[in-house]
Amino acid sequence: METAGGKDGEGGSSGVPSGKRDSEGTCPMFHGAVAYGEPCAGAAISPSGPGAPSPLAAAWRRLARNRGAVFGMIVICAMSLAAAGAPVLSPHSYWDGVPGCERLGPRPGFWLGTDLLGRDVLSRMMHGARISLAVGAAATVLSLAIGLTVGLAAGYSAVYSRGLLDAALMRLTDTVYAFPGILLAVGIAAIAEKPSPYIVFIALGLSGWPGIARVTRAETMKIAAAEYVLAARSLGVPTSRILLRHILPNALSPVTVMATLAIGGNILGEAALSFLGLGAEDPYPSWGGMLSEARDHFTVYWWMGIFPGMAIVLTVLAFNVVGDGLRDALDVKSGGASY
Amino acid sequence: MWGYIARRLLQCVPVLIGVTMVSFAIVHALPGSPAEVLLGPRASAEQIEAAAEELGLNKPLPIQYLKYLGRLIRGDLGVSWSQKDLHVSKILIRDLGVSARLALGAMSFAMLLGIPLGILSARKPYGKLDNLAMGVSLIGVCTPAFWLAMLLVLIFGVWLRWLPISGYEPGSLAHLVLPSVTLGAISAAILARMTRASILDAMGEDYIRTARSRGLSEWRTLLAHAFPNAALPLITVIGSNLASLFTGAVLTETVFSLPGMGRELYEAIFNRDYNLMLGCIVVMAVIFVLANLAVDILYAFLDPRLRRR
Repeated sequence: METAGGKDGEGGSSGVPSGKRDSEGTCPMFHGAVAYGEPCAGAAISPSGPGAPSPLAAAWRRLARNRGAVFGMIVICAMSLAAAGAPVLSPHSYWDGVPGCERLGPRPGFWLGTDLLGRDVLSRMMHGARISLAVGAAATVLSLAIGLTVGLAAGYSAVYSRGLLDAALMRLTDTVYAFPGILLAVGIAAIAEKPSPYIVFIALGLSGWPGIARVTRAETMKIAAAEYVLAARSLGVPTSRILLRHILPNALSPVTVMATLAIGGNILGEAALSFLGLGAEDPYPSWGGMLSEARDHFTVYWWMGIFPGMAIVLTVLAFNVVGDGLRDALDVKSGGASY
Repeated sequence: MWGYIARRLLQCVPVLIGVTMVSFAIVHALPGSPAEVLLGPRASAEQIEAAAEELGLNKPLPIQYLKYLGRLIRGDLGVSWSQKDLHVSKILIRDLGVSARLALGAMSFAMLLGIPLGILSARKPYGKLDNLAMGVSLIGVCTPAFWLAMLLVLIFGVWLRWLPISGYEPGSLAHLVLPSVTLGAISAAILARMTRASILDAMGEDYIRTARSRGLSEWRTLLAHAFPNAALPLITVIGSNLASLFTGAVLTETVFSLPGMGRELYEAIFNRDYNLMLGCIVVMAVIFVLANLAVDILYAFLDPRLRRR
């Protein structure tokens, strides 16, 4: 999907990637990434002969030329910095309100206003970024671990055994997928005795993997039929090594794209669960939790709700444009747009 | 074709059994017993024990599950414990009406906004309008529904006073406007992007060149030749989105206090109303799975190449 930036040098053509995959002459690592026929300087079209840039470097250059993706990366870095440095950088305590400063609008000293207890909204947002980003990333890692395992096992068994394992794993995937929206995450998070960010991370991680599993399975099936996998099998290379050394690295491009988009999705999920009262509890701030606190007072003390919401939108937007940029840079044809 | 449909239907059976198992496990893993919640904090241990016995909660979990499954197959969803022993099926039929209206409203909004926006964008790719529309739709995908709801309420409910803030009255369309916009915003954004992408895809085809060479206007080429061919992927998006709008409106219904299925489920979780919870999840999953199946079948019907898979 194109963002506002990715149009340089394309005279009137539709912007749909027109590259063809030619697998000959490319090194096995990321071989989908090399064959990207984007009409740019011309370096990217050539297969990696001697002296040609490595596929990863070429992909990185394409990413760096995408203005949207660069903007996204800057936002992600800034948010991470604000989160990591919150204990030092935040101007006020997120815990104690300043007496006499309750419900102040934005002003010097309290740049984004204060909440009902006189706590600085900016400081709470910086601390909230810690929870939102950490939960978003951790849940994605958990989903990746499950999704990659399931996808690799299912795809490989679909090609090289009778596919019983594949059928079983895919029905499991369909089952988790059959819970609409954040329903499964809400259910899992509700199991906890006490709401907390940890249970939110587990709930989102356990419910977010079917998309990753499906993409990994499709890629695995494609790659497992390749000649170098046949060669490795005929040499007696153990299955685990084939999966990890020959298949997984080649399936990583679409998975990277999905994972980047999934972080954004999980940040939205964290906000939703916190909004429903299943996440971080007062006094610990999370962006969704701050919106939940603001909900009943939003019409008067608008700053309590506007700024945390903008932080969510901006961060999710950043992960999405970086994910889209990666999709173009790594030449991923199908991406989990539907998930 | 019939073989394909039969195979896909058969695949749904283990999935739906899996859904009941997972949700049964979750429901029974929730902390606090329904007996305690029902009787309130002042009930004695004996009273709670007696109530648990009466509700059948003291039997082993697999037995309880099989009993539930047995009743489910006969179409009996049990009675709700928190709502005066009303039948779950009665409650859900009432809620389904609200959820269906909301989903239809949201999808109408998404289609009326998203498809024209996508067509206009595809008319001049990378033009000013395209960049604006795609920028807005990108932001739309990234906006939490409940935050959008708060903004809409602030603007249209409080400042302009055009529309009611929350609640539901049967027959009142005004109460459904803001929830529909909230729920449909993400679908509108997805539809706009999909419409644009699939029209641009079609614009590269030979028949478009033919149409142009015959001297048709750009608009005519776009609407009469590119769009019908681009509409096929849109059907999938609309169908599966409609299913998730129907079933995934927990947040929207909660924020706007709409008595639909999503809010029913959310409240059932806090009331530890096992039958109502399970009934909600099972009905939602059945709708979701069957709707996606219907989309696949429709797609295979329209595109014969897919039937062999």
